[in-house]
Amino acid sequence: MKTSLFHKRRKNLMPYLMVIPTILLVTGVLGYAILIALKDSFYKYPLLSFNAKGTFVGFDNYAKLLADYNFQNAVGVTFIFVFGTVLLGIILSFILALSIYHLKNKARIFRTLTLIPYLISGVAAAIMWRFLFNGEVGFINHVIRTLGGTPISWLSNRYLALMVVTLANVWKMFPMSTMLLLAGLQVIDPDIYDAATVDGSNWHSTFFKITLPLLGSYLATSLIWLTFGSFNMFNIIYPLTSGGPNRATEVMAIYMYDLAFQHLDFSSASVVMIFLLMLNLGFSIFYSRIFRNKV
Amino acid sequence: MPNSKTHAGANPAYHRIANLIAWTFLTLMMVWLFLPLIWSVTTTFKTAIETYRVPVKILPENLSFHNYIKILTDASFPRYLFNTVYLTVITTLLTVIISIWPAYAFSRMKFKFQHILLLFIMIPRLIPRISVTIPLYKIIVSAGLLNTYTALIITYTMTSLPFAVWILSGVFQSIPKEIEDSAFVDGAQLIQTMFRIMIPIASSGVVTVIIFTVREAWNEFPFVLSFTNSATMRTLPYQLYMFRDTLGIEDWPLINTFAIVTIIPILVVYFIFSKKVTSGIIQGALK
Repeated sequence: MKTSLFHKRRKNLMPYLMVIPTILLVTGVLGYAILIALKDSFYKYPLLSFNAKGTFVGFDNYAKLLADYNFQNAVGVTFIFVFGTVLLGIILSFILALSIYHLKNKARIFRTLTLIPYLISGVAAAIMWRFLFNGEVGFINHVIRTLGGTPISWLSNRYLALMVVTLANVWKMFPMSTMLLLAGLQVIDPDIYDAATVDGSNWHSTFFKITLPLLGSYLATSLIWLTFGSFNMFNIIYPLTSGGPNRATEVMAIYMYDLAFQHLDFSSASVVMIFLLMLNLGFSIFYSRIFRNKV
Repeated sequence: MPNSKTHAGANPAYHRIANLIAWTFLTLMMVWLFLPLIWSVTTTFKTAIETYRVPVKILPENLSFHNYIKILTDASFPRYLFNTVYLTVITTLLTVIISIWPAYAFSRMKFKFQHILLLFIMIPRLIPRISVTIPLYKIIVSAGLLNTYTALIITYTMTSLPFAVWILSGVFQSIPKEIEDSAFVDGAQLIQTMFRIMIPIASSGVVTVIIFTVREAWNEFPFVLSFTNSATMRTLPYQLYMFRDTLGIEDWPLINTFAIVTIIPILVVYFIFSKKVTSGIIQGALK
């Protein structure tokens, strides 16, 4: 009698014992980290001693940052970078996914190859793109020289550098969104197309009236993937341009990192982090509203 | 683009044009996808002077492995390789061993606060790694864990767990309940059920988790950049980053060789399991 009660207790406790290590590691450490950043964003610390007791300054750090030209620049660059990646990324993903899907088993190997950029590290990808667009030895300028043109300093021009960084990011991000769209295409029932053909529907109305609406949730997942990945991009931009030239490619993640580790201004960096988290949250809500019926 | 199957019988000319368009697009996309890789790989066989030659030549003049020999025989290379392999193996083992339990609990058991606890594990998936680097750095400094494997293993594992729990609970859920004897009374029986029944059946899910965790840990950059500053702690991606930064005159063949050396292992692992990975992603997307 006593033992069975004891066992019942144990059994009731079991799920919690199974969940606790993960909760402690994930929610505990991350939650604690976010609380620290939240506190720091309201405190000021003497330079070089961020573990010293700071002074509470209310929203001073926020006000200072919002008025800072470099912060406004980082927000602007981030939005251009994300918008460019999402737009180009979704177009390229669509083209590749539709081609692979259309060719069926003949294109099976390409499904495997598509994922390669996703697997290699951001640093390695950055090195390759830096090399591709290098002024003296890059492939692009070599082609221009071979054709008799004047080589271009891609990475020292504000706009061109941002373009190169965006292209490298699309290259790294679009394999996964292609796979997500491919997953969607594979579940659409071919009978629907048969019915459409019988009804005399031509390819563009088939695409816009059947394929696109049925792909809804997969399209949403792809867009979310491209948006969130780019919003917090650090791995590619930092080794590629370090945010330069003259802050032209300095997205919020890079700006935050440099504030903390170059300028040792942990309070301002924490404010940027809170903004980043709020933007992430905002985008989650935005996407879940748009795709409410589909996701 | 139309579906080929439906038009194949009806209109062969239409079918041929559609196929031609698909192949053209596919070729263009593969050029875009492989151009940076090919330019980088062929350069690893060139000499530094060769990279300056115009007109542009993609293939090297002679196939020479001198860059690879230089990288692989470098005195500190084994250290970077060891760090990367060690962190990847430990993180992956820990992630799998820790995540199977909550995955099982969430997919098989009913308990109070279940949904709240699940949310607590899933919401962090929305929190990007880079955004928590700064407070984590403070925690690590105060704990005296700067330049330690412990700090990296904890942070790597912590960021891999939510995805692992998500994938595994999905796979566990798809296993019929009748297969296991759910009337276990103690932990020992639960452990038996897990390793004798659940894991073997859910092996494809476990492989997916392993590949994704290996990829994350092998390629990790912001954490190792922030939480270590001693050269003996560097991983391959960190050293690659330092490498491109410290050379006065950039020896591009050598830099590219280092880059290629760091990505070959992960690509080998991928190609061994590629079928499971791609179908894992597609199944994951279907959920």
